[in-house]
Amino acid sequence: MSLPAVRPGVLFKASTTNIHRWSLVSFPVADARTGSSLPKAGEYLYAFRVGTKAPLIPGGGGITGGMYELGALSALDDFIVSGRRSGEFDLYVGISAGSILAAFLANGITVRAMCSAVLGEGDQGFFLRREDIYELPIGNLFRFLGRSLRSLGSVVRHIRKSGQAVTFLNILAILQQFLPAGFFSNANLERYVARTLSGEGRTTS
Amino acid sequence: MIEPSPAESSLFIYGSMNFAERVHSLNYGYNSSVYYFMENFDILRERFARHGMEVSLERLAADRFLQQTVIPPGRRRFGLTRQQSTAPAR
Repeated sequence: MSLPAVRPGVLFKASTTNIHRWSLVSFPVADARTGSSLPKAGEYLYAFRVGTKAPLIPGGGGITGGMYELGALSALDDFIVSGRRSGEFDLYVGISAGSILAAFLANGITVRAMCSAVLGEGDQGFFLRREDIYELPIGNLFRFLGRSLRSLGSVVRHIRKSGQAVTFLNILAILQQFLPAGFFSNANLERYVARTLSGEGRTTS
Repeated sequence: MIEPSPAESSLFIYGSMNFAERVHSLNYGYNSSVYYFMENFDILRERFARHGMEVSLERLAADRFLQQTVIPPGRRRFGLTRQQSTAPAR
């Protein structure tokens, strides 16, 4: 690489790429004729050294996407002969399901250990059970029934007033707003991550 | 970027909470990446080398996780500890 010689005070215009790839170091130019390493008046050479940080960014995709990513990371570990493995990156940035993988990797949990858990081998502590994601919202279901029964009269009146037939499906179509949002539970998922990362030397923050 | 190709739509038929299908998704991700590495090996080798990393196709094996399908479905379904597999070691 040819190194540009610039005068002090002149800003080096780095491209977007090498801002991240190189860090700037300055040192005086050695005079080839005299052997002096003292800087000549105003003459400096700027050299660059590698100062990169490599991030791993697992994306989202729910449980299926997370499993896909885990398989991809396993393949990546087999692909790389020397250099960083999936657990040796400087920075982990995860999105959705990938954030759980990223948190585990950042805490030193290896891809191999996670794969073993998925396959039902080894440490079952990482195993993602149904109850770690889903929760039967019994309280909300009872609340739905209570609200539905209380509102039944006004719902029927509303249907009649709007000129529709009073059928079970028409009533249900209006009462559906009281139904629980779903069975997915972030609280359970949070407990799973906290439980898994509660071991010695691991952190959730 | 490693991602499923547009042709790999069958990935999306897998259910999220079926433990057996999790293994298939895991294997799918592995195989998909292996094919990506094989197809783009020259470019990837050069790019990894720029970061001081060496790559090779030697250790990659297709269907790495499918050997797990020898586990009885009931045991996979409930995530119980696996018994000694009769599958050949890879």
